[in-house]
Amino acid sequence: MNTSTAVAVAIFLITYVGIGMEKINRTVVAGAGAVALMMFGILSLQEAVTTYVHWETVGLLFGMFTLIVVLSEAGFFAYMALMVAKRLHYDPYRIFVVFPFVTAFLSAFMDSITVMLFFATLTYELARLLRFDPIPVVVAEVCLANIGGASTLVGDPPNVILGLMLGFSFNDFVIHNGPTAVIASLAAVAVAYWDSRKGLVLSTDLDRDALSKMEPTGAVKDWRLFTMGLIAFGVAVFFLVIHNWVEHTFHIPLTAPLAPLIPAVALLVLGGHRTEAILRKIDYEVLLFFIGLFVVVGGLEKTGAIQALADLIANFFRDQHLALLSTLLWFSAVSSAIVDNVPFALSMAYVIRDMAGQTGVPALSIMVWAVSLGTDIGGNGTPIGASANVVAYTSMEKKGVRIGWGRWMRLAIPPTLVALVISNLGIAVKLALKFF
Amino acid sequence: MKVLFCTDGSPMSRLALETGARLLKGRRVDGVVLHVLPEVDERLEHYERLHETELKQIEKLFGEKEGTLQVVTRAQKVLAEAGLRTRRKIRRGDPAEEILKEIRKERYSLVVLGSHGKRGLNRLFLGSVSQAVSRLAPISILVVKAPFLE
Repeated sequence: MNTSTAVAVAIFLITYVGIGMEKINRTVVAGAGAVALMMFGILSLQEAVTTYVHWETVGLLFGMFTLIVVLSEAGFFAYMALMVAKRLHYDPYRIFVVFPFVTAFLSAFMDSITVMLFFATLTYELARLLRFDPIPVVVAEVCLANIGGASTLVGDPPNVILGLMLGFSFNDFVIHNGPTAVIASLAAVAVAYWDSRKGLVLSTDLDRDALSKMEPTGAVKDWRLFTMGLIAFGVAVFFLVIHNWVEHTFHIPLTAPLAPLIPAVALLVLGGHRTEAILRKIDYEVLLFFIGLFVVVGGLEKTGAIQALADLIANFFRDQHLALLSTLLWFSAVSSAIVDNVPFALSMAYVIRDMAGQTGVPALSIMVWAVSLGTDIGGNGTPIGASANVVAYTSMEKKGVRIGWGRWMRLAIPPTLVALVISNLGIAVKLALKFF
Repeated sequence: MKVLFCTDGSPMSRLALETGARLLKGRRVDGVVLHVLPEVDERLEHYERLHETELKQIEKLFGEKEGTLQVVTRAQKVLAEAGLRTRRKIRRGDPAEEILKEIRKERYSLVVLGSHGKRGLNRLFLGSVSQAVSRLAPISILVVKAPFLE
């Protein structure tokens, strides 16, 4: 290992540990890592910006964030949750089963952090009125949000990175990860429900008056924005589904990042006085975090550290496809449960790209599905495994509902393990059928 | 006598205050009302700031919660009705740890608190704060019990 490789590896490890420790803001840590690489002459600023920052990922995330801010400003999430609760006749058992599926569905198309910020809050409020224990419901919602996020390109940041960097589309993710995610979701909810159904209802003395006043329409702040946001979101999903076909058939460059960017920009143009407020609420910090990480991992790629790791793994698992894929899935899952899954997914995107094409190594696509399922679902295991977990956990703590690491893990690990076993079986079946 | 009254704004802590006030009525009490705020998480605050419009709308829909000052002022009012004059203190962190720190810092003769507070919503941890305080505090504790109120 030469000096520049050692420096790049050291900076990556310090950044990774720094992000995991959460003592300093993670965006600042990633930015410091990127600047350190430039200070040591591993990368130039121009090289970092033009070669290693993956602007397609940043663009797609910007578009999706804009659409989510518009929906949030309009009151979409509260409307959705209250409408579902009303249709379920405010039955705590039905809420326990259905709410996690709603978070899974929403997280398949939206940022799961925002979904969980609102669903944790709304589940707490409903639990207060309906006298049920919100903790098992919120933990199940987080688990399903992360599993649902595995099913599409835009469901979870690791998928955006893996898909866009390695050339897999929205439809590829839906076809290959979708069925596994659906089966894993059903099994995870069944396990969670079986585990916690007994202590769920705390009292049958309900606050009927408060419930009768809770009309879902009362949650909508701006109907025009609500309609515009939903239409724009529908257009983004439609574009994501058809963009490959449009590109190949009509030679129109409707790329994946443009799918959400076009309706997002249209909303900003048509937003009038609301545009300023929408722009202020876009999560630029996460975008900067991604940019910093792209540079830090770019340092590893440039100095050959990733190629060396890829060669090592490829040699170790030569011709043992299922063992390699299972290791990728479970290693991704365990790593994601311990530290932030974004730097992990970013590094793995380079590792599996460098492994693909070597003799005795499975196709790139099936390695992408294994890493993606492991990274997305593994994050469930601890309160810090994914940003959605952190937000749901701390939001409940702030409201005075203490979960604790022990209870979180006791509730989250069984459905997570079941979902991971199903994912592993799904990968084995795909390998046997050569369907990847 | 120096008495520490703990409140988290829950119906149970109100009951504890009322019971404490009834028992101590007519006595010379140097009282302190303590409210412990939860630790602030930077990432949650960041997302709450980004989505404050809809969160405020939800708050409006479900009824606005009492602010810190309102919780403490209401507690002081309950005690004042029994002729007990109090000062207020606000701490941030884990409730049990902060109550114990306050007890160790000042020379209290008695601590009054509910058997479970807001966290009583969670059956598993029912009374975790009162349990920890009564186990570890070096002074007398009045733990007021009542049926599940949340």
